[in-house]
Amino acid sequence: MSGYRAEGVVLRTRPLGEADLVVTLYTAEEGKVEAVARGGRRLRSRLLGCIQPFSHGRYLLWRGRTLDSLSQGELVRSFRELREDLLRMACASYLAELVDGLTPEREPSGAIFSLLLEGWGFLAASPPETNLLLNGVSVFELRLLNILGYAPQLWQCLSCKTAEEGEWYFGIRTGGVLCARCASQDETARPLSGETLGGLRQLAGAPLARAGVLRLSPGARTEMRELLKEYIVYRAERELKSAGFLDLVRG
Amino acid sequence: MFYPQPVVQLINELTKLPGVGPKTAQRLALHLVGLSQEEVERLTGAILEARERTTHCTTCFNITDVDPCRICRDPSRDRSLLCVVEEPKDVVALERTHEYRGLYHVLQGAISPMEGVGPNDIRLKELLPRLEGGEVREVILATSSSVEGEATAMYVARLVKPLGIKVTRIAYGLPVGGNLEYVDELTLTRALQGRREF
Repeated sequence: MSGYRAEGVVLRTRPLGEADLVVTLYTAEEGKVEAVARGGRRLRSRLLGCIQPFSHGRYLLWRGRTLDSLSQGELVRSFRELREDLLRMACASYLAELVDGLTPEREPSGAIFSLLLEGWGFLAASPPETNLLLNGVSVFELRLLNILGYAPQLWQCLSCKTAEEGEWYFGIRTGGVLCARCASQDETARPLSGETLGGLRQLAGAPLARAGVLRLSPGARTEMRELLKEYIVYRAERELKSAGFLDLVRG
Repeated sequence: MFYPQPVVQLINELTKLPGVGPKTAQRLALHLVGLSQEEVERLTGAILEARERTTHCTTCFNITDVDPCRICRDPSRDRSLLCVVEEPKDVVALERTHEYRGLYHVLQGAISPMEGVGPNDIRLKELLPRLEGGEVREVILATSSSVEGEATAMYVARLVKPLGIKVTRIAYGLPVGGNLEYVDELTLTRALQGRREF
């Protein structure tokens, strides 16, 4: 066994046995790591404050055969704002699940770590308005997909390369827009409204600070959420449980 | 395993209990086979009876042997207070304080966005009918201070507040006998926010 230090954020926790907790961290140095916090569910645990979901901290970990163990931690930022509002919490949980679902263990990416801190920071600092926070979530989704090499093509037809304005479709399997003539090549292609496509183009590559500029109609909002969710589920090859809760809370 | 087949089967069943690992299961199994016939019958009888006679109160969803439960049918309880908790063991914890004299509502779980447990998976829709009629004046949210507990409390508050009923949340703060040095930053922040005039 050897010890190591890592700066990370808590994506999620799950109970283990009577009083222990398995903490899923995303660390700058090691990427995604699962570690056991012994006694982490006890009220008197000294780890309690720094192993809550959404915590950003510096941790001391020990390598184990299957799971590492987390022995000490120091809180950098609690992101408590994310726990104090239902919409913020729903969005923050969704961002955490995206990173958890789309990244393999022990593949460090400084870009993903920074993006998550930026995403949670944005949610914590923004007023809890549906339009603003959901735009932020979409910017996060597009940037995460970009880092992972899954960025959807939004500017020209994936098949014939046309960029002429007209009727557009989005191919979940092919990963981008298709023109009306080529849409039949991808059985997962679905019609895409001009408003939603314009919104996606505006949000792709935009900084989170500009997320509030875009205003979408309720129909286009739902279309964008559904489309990105479907595309991510296809890439992650698993369901995103917190997406359902986010849809419920955003009303 | 080197134990006779019936003992192995007993060990396997015991291992399924919470907090019982293989070693504990072996020790318990060896103890049980060494008991007299009468003692074993008393134990199995107690398990069967507890299982058969325990049900959920159709009003508050706490576990009970009579329906409505003893708390719900107690005329001396304050019916204007309703305390919302996650689990039956939380009712026991609150009852031990002897401070609270109102009624309860046991959700039998908590909303967990990450685990996909939504409001429809807990006893939440059963809460709203209890608030009709105007008898309840205050709903106390006593879910735990985990992310799941907070999510549940906020969701319940969002449903109840429009009904014009006072909604309160139990306080956060230092544990009794706790030393400031060992209290985490989050708890301390909340304790400062929730300070009271002395």
